[in-house]
Amino acid sequence: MNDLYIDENLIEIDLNLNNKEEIIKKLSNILETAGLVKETYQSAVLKREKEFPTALETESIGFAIPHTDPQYVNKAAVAVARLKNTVNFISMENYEKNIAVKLVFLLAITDPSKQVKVLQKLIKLMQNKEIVNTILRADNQKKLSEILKNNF
Amino acid sequence: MNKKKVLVACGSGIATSTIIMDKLEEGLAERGIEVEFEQCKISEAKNYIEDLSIDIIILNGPVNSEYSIPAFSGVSFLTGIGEEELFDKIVAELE
Repeated sequence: MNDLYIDENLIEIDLNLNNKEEIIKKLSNILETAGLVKETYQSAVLKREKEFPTALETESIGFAIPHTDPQYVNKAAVAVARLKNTVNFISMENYEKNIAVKLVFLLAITDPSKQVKVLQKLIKLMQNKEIVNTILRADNQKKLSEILKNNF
Repeated sequence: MNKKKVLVACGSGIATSTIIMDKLEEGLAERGIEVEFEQCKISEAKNYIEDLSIDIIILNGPVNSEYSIPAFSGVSFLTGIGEEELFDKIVAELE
């Protein structure tokens, strides 16, 4: 998955924010500053998250994968937040249900067929307890980005 | 016998529905069941069901009573939780 840009500068460790909109804004600002997404990306993601929420829960962890359409994206990338405290995101499956989310992967995808592969990898990763634990224990951005690079 | 038609739907009609469809295809093949797949956005599902005479729908999204055919959430195929049970339910509906 060499064409998905993963970088320590796109990672927040123990981000101390308490609602999902702020988290999405924080991460999309990072992508925008890096020139990876267009100005319109942030509002598009926020809108889509409201319409089609993205939280999932595996046996290992609660996580969310906010994303939007390729037209808002310059270069395929993922910004990641490991949250200090879990924050409620709405479940992909049941819009009445909150999931306590610890990891947020904000996806910027340019090609829908690649998006599928990225999602598939990410979901597999989140089902793997060992890898999830290494992500939760990584002490800094660099380590976390290495774990992701090695597994994508 | 005609193959049954399975509609898989998600928000974009592209991403998670493809993952669900891949899993389903593989799992049903293992169980010796052949079906025909259609894929669409959740917002288009009702029209697809009518126009293409779909037999069952698997959604990545809330399953409510607005569908005229058996409907299941496919989220187990994304999380790995309850995957076998979901296959059993879908197979029971297809047989």
